Amino acid sequence: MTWHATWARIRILASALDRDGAIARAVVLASDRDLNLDLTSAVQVAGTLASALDLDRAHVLDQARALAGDLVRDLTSALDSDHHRHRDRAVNRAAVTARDLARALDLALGGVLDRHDVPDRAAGGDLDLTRDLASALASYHALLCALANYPTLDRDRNLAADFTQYRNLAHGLACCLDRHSAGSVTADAKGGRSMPRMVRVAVRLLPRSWQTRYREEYRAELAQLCPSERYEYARRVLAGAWQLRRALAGTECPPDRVRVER
Amino acid sequence: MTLPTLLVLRAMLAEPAREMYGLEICKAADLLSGTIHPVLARLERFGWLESRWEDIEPAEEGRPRRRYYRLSPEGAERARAALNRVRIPVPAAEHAPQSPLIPRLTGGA
Repeated sequence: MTWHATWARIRILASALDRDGAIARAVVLASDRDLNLDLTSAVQVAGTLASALDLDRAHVLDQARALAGDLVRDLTSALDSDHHRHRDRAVNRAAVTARDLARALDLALGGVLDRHDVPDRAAGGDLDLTRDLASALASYHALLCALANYPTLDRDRNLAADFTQYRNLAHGLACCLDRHSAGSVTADAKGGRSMPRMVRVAVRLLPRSWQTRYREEYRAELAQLCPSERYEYARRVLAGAWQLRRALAGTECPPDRVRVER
Repeated sequence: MTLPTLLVLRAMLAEPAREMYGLEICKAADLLSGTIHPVLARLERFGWLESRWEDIEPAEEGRPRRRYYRLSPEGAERARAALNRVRIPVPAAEHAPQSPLIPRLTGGA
């Protein structure tokens, strides 16, 4: 397979917003012996995608929390409105916000589930967050359907009960996200933060027999770094993954073969 | 042999018997964190370095165990020879190296 074909596949995957899949595919391609010189490029692409995903993940819960707050306001506004036109406008806003929120929750849930491939990370906090997000996501999909159908509903029907229920849902979710945000700060302070995606990709690029060792070694080093240093560390680990793979595979000459440029 | 490899060897020769973990070596060699593992892997593969897991209980310490590296007796000898060959002053034990004059090097990892 040529690099162009590889790149095209990765781009298709990425454009389908399946960035996790794109990274996984890039890693598989990077392990493909036939690619040879394209390996470095595959690693770089995987790094870029992973980097984007890590940055997204750092903000996705914040985004979901902000959207949940917006939704509470939109639904309150719809509930309090006496005029159909004002209520319609508020409902339209709520529908857009709910759609964005559903997507943010989807991403957040995917991120949390993804973290569970790291041993000893299946902590209670993550499982609680997973459960809450999954439940919130299901509720919001239902809310989204209800809002989408709103224009076809009987305008004379008293919608107060529905909107009150939706607003309570949004409020509950906002509180849930706040609670989990506080929990993640505590976990960071203890050095228990999950391994960044880029480091996990780097580990997966190594020969299988070495992955456990380096996963643990990287985790120990990450635990010593402050959050602001972790991203750069992860980026460098990923950038050096192919070099490490070659070193472990023993395809290099002994270290004391020194040439000095004159 | 690359410059990072030479810097790692020089840093470890400052205290050949001392065990150091990755971040410690990076600091001593004045290298960026996350860049050192290919160098360490290669040196270990050729027997210049030995490594072992830290002997702690992670749950009790509240942190993962570290991987410690140390120059092997043979590795220390060969590292000195390699540094002498490229005219890098071998640091006296117990002292960190000071701004060496390092020629441009190519080859190896």
